[in-house]
Amino acid sequence: MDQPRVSGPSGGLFSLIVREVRSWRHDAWQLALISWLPLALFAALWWIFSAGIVTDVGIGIVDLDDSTLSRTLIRRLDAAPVLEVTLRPLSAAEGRRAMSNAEIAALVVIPYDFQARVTRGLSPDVTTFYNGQFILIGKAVKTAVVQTLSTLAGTIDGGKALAGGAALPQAPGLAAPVVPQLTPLSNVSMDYALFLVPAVIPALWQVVMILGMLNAVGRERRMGTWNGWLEPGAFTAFTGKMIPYIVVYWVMGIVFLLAFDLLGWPIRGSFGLIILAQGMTAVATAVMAGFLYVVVDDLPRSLSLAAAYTAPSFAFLGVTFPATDMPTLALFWRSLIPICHTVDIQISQMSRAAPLRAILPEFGALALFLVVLPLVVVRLKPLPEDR
Amino acid sequence: MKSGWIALLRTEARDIFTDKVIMLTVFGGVVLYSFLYPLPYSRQVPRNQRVAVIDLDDSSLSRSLVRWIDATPEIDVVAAAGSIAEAEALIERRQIAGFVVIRENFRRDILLGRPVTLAVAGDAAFFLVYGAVAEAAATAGATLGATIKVGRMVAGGADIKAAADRWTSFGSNVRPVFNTILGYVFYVVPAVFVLILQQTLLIGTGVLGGTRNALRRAGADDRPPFPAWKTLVVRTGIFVSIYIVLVLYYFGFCFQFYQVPRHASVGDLAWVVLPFLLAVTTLGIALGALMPRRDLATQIVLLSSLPLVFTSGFVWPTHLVPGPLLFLAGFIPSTPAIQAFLRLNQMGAGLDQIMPLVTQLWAQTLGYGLLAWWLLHRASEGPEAVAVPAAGTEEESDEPVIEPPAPAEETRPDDEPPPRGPSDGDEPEDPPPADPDGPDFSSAAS
Repeated sequence: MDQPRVSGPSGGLFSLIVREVRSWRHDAWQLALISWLPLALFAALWWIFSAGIVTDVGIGIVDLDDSTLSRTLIRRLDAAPVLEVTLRPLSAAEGRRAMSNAEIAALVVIPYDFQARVTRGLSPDVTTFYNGQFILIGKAVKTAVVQTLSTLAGTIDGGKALAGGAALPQAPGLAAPVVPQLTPLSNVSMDYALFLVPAVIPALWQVVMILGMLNAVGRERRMGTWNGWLEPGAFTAFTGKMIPYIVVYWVMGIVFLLAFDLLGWPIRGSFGLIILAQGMTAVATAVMAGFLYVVVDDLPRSLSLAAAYTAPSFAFLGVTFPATDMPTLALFWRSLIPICHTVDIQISQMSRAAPLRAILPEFGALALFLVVLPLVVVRLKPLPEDR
Repeated sequence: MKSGWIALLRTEARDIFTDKVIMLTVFGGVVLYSFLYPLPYSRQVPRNQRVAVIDLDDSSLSRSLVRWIDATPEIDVVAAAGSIAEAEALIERRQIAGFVVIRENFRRDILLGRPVTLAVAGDAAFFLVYGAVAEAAATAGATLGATIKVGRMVAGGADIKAAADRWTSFGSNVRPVFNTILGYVFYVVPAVFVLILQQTLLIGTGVLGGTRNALRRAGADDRPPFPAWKTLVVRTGIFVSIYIVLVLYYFGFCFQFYQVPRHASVGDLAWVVLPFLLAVTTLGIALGALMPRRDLATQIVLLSSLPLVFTSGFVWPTHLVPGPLLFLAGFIPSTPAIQAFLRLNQMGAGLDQIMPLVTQLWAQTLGYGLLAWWLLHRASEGPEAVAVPAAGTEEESDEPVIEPPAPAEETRPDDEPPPRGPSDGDEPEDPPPADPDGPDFSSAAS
């Protein structure tokens, strides 16, 4: 059987590439890492967010008034797409308990004599508590509640204006002169998934890439083919080994980029620039994988390093928390992770068609990773004896 | 019998505490990640988003709206742009995070009572900008409307103070609870720390199991064959003990350091900590028993992190996660544990309210415990398992002969893909790698 343990590839880069590709036939985990496993994970992540817009979040309402108006208010809240009235606690304390147990994301309290006070023009307050622990969900709920209540208040005012003799077309203007709708210029819809998915998938792609590339180097040690692999010279051996992975992962990147475009997250700017960035990221990751390996000369340990390096990277991307608000240390660490630059470039093309000169610094950063390559090559030495 | 336990304890402890990768993952990783994960969020709340306004209407009303938007806490209007292109240039120069467009005929449409639209655009932090602008617009619009209405009421003869009190039929008073400053550290840290504990523990037990399997397969197993159930008990005991210390580090010292509020008593927390650690450890031992080599556990666990974060319910609501994925996530201890800890500690829930989650953790412990026992049992009975002449299984054996790790030539490359899919624990908590004192398994392990 053709074992990948060919002792010394003759010829140069091409035979090294072939040798690496042949090794995949015998290494099911590695084969998984360059094919179905990342795709399955990408699909799973996309699937998690496939609902897209936040809808039907459960809220509770304590109706201490039980009048026509309060029931109208409840119906209006239930009708809002983001909200669903799932609980009708008898007291605020009971509602608070339900909030503590994450059964409801918000609690609306309609006070006693609500309708009576509204009718008499006393302007009572409806109090809403929303869950600040789950910030994203809480904010979505809060916005929906505020908008629904202010619309309803406006409708009542409009009704009063009519009762007061105003002509019909004037009534809405009299009631709530400004009811602004918001349209996002760069999203097709207010799709939360639009934010997260194009950031999460590259983050995972970075993880998969570095694992595959580290495994490739570690395999030579594990199989005892280290010296044979390095025979054509460290630079040639390393480059030849990495090229197939760079190609495979680059193709994968292009595929998910196209998927973003097809699934309704259009790229307003240049595909070419993002694809170029992806290619440079694959190269940068290969160099960093080599670096992480030679620093400790042991696959399990370098994997530990790789985990520390890439695992938290999603938070550093700047999508959930703006990069401009991160402390200097975080910005420094961020600049060391290739995918952070790539996602910057990607967003610049997705949210607006930024010209090259605007993102030149990011491309420069990606190119800078190559300075680590000599450090890697210098440390790739044959072992004293061929183990 | 007692001596059997002690011998087992010593053997396990030796295997665990002398393994640099395990020690660095468990101790180093937990400590490193406690600083690394919260780092990007350490300013807690993002600053005001700098926004430009494109006012195509340029009326008194639109200028008032711009003033009100600027007055909103989360937004600073720093520039007025003449066109979208101009505003996008400002974004490129990183002077603004987004911009708002007020269309022409804004004033006219308002006076005619027609719906008006504001367009919003932004960059990476778009979602944050959009949310802030949405609130700003709603508040500004309401305030503007109030000003107009009060003006009309006064013009119609109403007392200005009365008009100011009663300009709207009812008011709305909205407040956040539990994380009243909406701080991101308070948001992320309590949940992610639970995941970190799980992932590092899974890697630790997984690496141990993989190492043992590799040694066994290479015929270099120097341990007397202890019965599987005893191994399970002792290994679980050691890891759980280690992690109780780490739990104290996280929920005690780290929470204090980040000033994360804690509402639960130690007793209440213990009710969750114990089954959580047991469930993770037994899962990890089962996982380890399936690992043919040392390096696979780290990779599997690392790959599962992101899916586990997003199915745990603190970022994306669980009712929107597709059923099958939620079902799979339910098999992983971090899923119920994150909810349980958040509800107890951050949201002030009572122990009685989270009991179903505690039960889920115990059920996982039982299931994974049995699975781990069976897998350990099967592994110890396999043909490649016997490396040492079998002494009495329960008795303390004589000094085992430590055979050198066999060279790698005779082993095939790993062709067993890890059995688990994306539902594996995620936390890629590996700390900096161990130094090379431990036995070097990278060539033997296959």
